[in-house]
Amino acid sequence: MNKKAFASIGFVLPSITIVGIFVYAFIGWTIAVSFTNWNTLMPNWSFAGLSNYASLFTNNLRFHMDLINNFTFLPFFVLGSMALGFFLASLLNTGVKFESFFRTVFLLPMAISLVVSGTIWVWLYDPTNGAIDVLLRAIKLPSVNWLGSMSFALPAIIIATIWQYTGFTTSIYLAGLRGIPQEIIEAAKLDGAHGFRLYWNIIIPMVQSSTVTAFVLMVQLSLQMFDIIWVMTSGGPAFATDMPAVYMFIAAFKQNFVAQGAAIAVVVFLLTLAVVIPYLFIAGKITEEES
Amino acid sequence: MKKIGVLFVILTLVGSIAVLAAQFSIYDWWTAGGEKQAITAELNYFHQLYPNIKIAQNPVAGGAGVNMHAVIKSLIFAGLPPTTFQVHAGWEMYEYTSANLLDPITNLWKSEGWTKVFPKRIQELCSYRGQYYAVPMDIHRANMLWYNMSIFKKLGLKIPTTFQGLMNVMAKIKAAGYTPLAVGDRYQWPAAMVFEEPLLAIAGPKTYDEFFQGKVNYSNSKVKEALKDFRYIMEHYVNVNHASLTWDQACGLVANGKAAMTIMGDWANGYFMGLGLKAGINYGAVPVPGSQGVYNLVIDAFPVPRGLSPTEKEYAYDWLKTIATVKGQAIFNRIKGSIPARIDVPTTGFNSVQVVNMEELKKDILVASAVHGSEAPAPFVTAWENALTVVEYHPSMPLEQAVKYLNGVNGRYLTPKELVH
Amino acid sequence: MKLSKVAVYVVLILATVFFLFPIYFLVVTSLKSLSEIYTTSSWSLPTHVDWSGFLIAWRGLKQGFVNSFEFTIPAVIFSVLLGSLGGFALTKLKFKGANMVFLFLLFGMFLPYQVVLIPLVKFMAVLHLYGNIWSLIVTHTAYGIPITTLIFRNFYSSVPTSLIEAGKVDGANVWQIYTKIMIPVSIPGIVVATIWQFTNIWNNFLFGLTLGSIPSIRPVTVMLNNLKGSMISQWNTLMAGALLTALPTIIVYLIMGKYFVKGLLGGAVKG
Repeated sequence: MNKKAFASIGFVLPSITIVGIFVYAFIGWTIAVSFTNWNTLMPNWSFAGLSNYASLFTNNLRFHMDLINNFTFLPFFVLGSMALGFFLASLLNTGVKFESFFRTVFLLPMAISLVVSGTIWVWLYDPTNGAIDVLLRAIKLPSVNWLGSMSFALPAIIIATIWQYTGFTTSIYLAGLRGIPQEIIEAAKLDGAHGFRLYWNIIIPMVQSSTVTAFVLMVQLSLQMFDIIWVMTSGGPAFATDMPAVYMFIAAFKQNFVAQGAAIAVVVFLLTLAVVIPYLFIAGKITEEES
Repeated sequence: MKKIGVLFVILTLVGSIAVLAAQFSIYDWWTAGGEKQAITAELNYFHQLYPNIKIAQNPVAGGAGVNMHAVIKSLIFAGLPPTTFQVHAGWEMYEYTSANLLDPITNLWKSEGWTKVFPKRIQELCSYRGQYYAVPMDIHRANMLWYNMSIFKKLGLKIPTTFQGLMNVMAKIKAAGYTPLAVGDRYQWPAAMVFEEPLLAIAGPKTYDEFFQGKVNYSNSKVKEALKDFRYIMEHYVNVNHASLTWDQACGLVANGKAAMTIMGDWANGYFMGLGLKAGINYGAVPVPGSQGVYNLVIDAFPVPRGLSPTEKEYAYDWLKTIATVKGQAIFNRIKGSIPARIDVPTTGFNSVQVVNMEELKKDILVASAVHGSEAPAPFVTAWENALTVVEYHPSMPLEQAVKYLNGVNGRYLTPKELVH
Repeated sequence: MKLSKVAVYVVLILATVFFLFPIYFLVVTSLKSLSEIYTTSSWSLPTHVDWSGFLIAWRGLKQGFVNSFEFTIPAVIFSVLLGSLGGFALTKLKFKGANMVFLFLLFGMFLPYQVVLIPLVKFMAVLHLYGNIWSLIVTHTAYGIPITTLIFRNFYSSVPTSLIEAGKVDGANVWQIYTKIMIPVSIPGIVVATIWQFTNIWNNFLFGLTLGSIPSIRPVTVMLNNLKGSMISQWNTLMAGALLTALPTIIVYLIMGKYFVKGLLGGAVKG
């Protein structure tokens, strides 16, 4: 082994060891449990085959709704926070005054824990006295029973989470926009690219790496969305906002279906990788072509 | 790099040297307001009696005890059981006993003479397969109706004696422009109480028990009637924002005259008193009409986990002896708003609602609340509550179809072979 | 001012309102008395300012503040350090399999945390770290490594390789190149990683709930949650506590905010 390889292993070895234990060993434990009959309070390591998985996909109405909810939530939240972030960053990048004031204000929600912001949003959404209701009535729109309605509860949670995280995507995109050399934009303008075409053909491809970072972080957040749902609706009404992370917690710790909870976790983990890996692959190819 | 790695290892080792000395570590979910004052007062009394025991109180709020039980279960799996913890007597406790995680304390019950001072039904809920496992600290009553007296006076209404009568009263209140029944079911359980308490009132205690034992289901005509009323109430008689509110905010609607009534356990009493309102003047409290003479129990109790060291076990026994005394029961329950589980505690220092309930506990038929984990196993209760919200949020689903769906859920989660009594 | 410029400001001000109005409720509610909260509209100003919420909240939280700083600061330092070391090795010491190692570390981000609670507590019990502040430090460090490695890998990609080559010519070894050349140019990356890690660790609830078994190590977020009872919710205390809990993060943003975009900028030039 040459010296360089040895040194590089030394640099990443602590990280590999720690992540190996805390992520892979624990996931391994979870996978092992998901194949057992540990659906009682006391550990039961007898082999159950695929029955925990089979029951999730055959007759488990709640899990089906969880998947639908999570994969409805994910694109709206991820694209919403990224699009709004990109839009606000583009405005901030036009040389406005008080830029740092706006940036700090946009970031402020991130400082507040989800448990608290969830509580605040419940008040805002209250259909009798909430701020949003008052606003809707002021512009002569019918009031909406946000959290008490099967169709509006999930959108309500999506708005609250976009509020929480858009400041961060704004900052990421602002940095990306600042990184585009001015000459390139000038040159494109001389070639007749303006407005939408300038953005579509030049600017958006140039902030590709900001998009990758934002995408990965927002996908991670949406799959771990637990605190804010636990506080705002605890999965209701009638599972309309239930997510795998909530079900997993209830199954493992309230119903004592530990193996069932483990199976949910494994399915969610695999689905995440299925979303993220192709994306990283495509994004990686683009950045390689650029350089 | 090496230096930093070594530093990391050294720091980790230094950290691990600190070993926990024997202490009395107690977990509960009483974290705020009167309930926190009550447990603090009880622990102070414990400290007076046993000044040498080091107390580590571990309150874990949230999710009506779910967060705390998640911690307790993680601790037990890791081989680090706490000295004692709060548990609802009945099925919530049976989960632990059936997994053989608690130590029987039958000898303690016998030697302390507790079998004579606690009601029979409460003793049953604290025991499992012939052995005692926990000591009750307080009794709450789930089947209570709280009402705004000035609204009732203004509309010239009286509290009826049957649940059908209450449905008629709700119709009149609605016609007068008030919300008949305040509900705050952001966390589902308060909505489940709008089924559970009417079920007790309409079907009576025998059918109520049989329902949660899986012997009868929603096809029973009385159960079906309760289901029909539940759906009708949730569709027509409750505040529109019920899904945004917690149970205490729903009580607030009764307090400020926006809603006429609410169905809630007697912990609501502490809430109304906290607002400076007077029982019998501003608000009234009665058993849910139709369930007079029946006491729907919610019992907070403390068990002794297996795997404690002899010192810790001694500490746990000292705690149980403390909370079982007349004085220990009085100190805690006066502040908490609940009533003592012992029937020989003098009524001095308790308020009017408490005094009435203390008298009724002695003569009423006692049943236990499923919503609060005493009457049925947790996997069932969770699925049952969720299924109720499904039929609640699909009001157009025909009753027969709802019955079929709910019977399916009950059948999956409630098999009579699981029963211990 | 041109019309388009006016439009930009109008939109930015609307966005400011969107981001600030929920915080208005937080502040207003924290200053009301309990009975006023239940009897008045949630968005009216307090009729008289009532500090009792803040007093009760502070009494309930102050030990939690000490505890949270005690594990957040070391965990931020360790995870940022390990991320920086890893990011450096992955980009500048392009060894065989670097991309595989990166993916190995990155996938750790997508773990649903609820499910590791049981093995985590068991692992800490085996190490005799349960009930010890180090259980929280080690856990937060471990789950921070994937994201800090990602941040530093992106950041170091933009540092010109010529800097390293220059160091090699001068005869510096890898460790010297890292400490003498990379660390000094890392400040913006460190800022980004620190902000992200500080926010996430400080606001974390789930690990604090399971590992914070005794009052002397219990995080402020868990104590904040305990301000809300199982049965009674004192909203003014809860909101005042929420404001107090958010203060350290807000201060971090105010101090480090202007370096934040700069730091992201460093990493954004090349992904």
